[in-house]
Amino acid sequence: MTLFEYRRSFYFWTIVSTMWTLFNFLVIGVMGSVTGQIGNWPFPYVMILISTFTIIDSMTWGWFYINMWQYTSHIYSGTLSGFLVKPIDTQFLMMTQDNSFNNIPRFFLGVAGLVGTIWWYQISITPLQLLLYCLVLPVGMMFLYFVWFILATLAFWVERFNNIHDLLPGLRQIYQMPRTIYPKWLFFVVSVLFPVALVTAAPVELLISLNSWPWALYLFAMTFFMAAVARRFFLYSIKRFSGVGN
Amino acid sequence: MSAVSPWRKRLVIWARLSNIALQGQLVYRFNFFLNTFKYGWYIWLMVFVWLAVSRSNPDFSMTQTQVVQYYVLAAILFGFSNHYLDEVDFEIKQGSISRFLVKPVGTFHFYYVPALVRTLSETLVKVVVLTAAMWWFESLPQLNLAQIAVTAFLLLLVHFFSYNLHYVISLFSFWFQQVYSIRYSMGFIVRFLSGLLVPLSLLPLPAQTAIRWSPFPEYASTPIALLQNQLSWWQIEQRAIVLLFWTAVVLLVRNRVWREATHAYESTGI
Repeated sequence: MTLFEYRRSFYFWTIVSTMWTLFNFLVIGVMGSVTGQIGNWPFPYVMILISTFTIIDSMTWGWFYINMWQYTSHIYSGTLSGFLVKPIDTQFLMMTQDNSFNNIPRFFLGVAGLVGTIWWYQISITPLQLLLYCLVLPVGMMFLYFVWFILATLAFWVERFNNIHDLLPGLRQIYQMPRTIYPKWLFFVVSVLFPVALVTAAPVELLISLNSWPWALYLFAMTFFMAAVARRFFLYSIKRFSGVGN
Repeated sequence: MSAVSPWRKRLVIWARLSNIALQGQLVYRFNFFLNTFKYGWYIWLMVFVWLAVSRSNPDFSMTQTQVVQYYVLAAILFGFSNHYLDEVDFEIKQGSISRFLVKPVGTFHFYYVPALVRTLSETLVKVVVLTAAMWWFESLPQLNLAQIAVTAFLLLLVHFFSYNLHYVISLFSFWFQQVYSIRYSMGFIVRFLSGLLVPLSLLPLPAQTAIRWSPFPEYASTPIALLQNQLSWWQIEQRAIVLLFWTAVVLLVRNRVWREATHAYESTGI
């Protein structure tokens, strides 16, 4: 209803997100004109990675960011109390209470980029590879979201850190590029210790080759681990909360 | 009783605004450090991208040292052109502009002086940290006092120009609801045109020539070339004249839009 009420906003953001996405592809195009590969990834595979990044980014700004911003706002303003007494799990509510349709065009642009690159470069994809890609992609998004939730929950512990929900969006560029561009120590950090690079790398590497299934399994395991940590940390942190009128 | 000169009064007000801005940085220091390093990190990541590009193409026009220098300097300079004037949009829409009728400071200066202080304090922190990073990568540029002075002057002019440009967009809040979308859509284009994402020397020559008539290379590409000793004094003067021209244009536009906006302005109470 809100979308139909504020149609102009939707049209405006359609233009903005289209421009952002096209310029992203333009930057990669300029890099591709200088060299046919980036970090040993041939240019078509980099385009697939950027398309996947665009799909994930549409969820990041359309769903994750708006909820995490409201979550930290409720903590700092003390209005979380109203959600604690609702007959629904508070963590679930905090993670799903709101969304924005303004980034739906980006989702479709990402899908179009993905399909267009596969068709243009005649990349052969088997149904199994496509299925695994569609399975691993949402798992990567969930990993990102649970990490974001853990970082946002730090708002219970650190005062005057209003921009804490902005921490993870600042790290998005890590998975915008092939992880092979990083030096060995950073590759280890972003692929093993804090596997945010696997968010795009795991599904894309499965799509172009089935040899990277161990990384996909590792991403699955880390996502479950992060979900458990997010749950425990939230329940532990909520005891520190003192809302308005408590 | 001697009268205080208007300029002295203005300086006292600016000093107070600067003090408030600095106090805000210290009280909200976690926010300050997060903002300082968030965009620095974004640009720093381009170092790895372009190092990978240079490794895969032996004929690439930049050495690895130049790539590291380019993007680390870009990370330091980025703050001079990266502004968020959402508070201005909000106050216009809320009708809070009316309070400037009773404040001893103009609307623009009330917002601009704290923004300048924030930029300078962020840049100071970035200079300390990223200079250490460049030293680690053995990519410290050789600088002299004249280069630093000219770069500083250019960057202050860039800050003034870019802030005015964003301010003009904010003034459209008198007529439109969501001007921040205009600002955001401009953001990526400006970053591309300034050389923050792709060094301008890699673009086709006609594109480079066209872009050089705009003020955006001064955001990053020109000061970096200056610090890397790649510009002659005549080229620096040319760039400064282009930027001064565009600054004059944006000031004229700002004053005109402000005049039209105050005619259109309505608010309830003060």
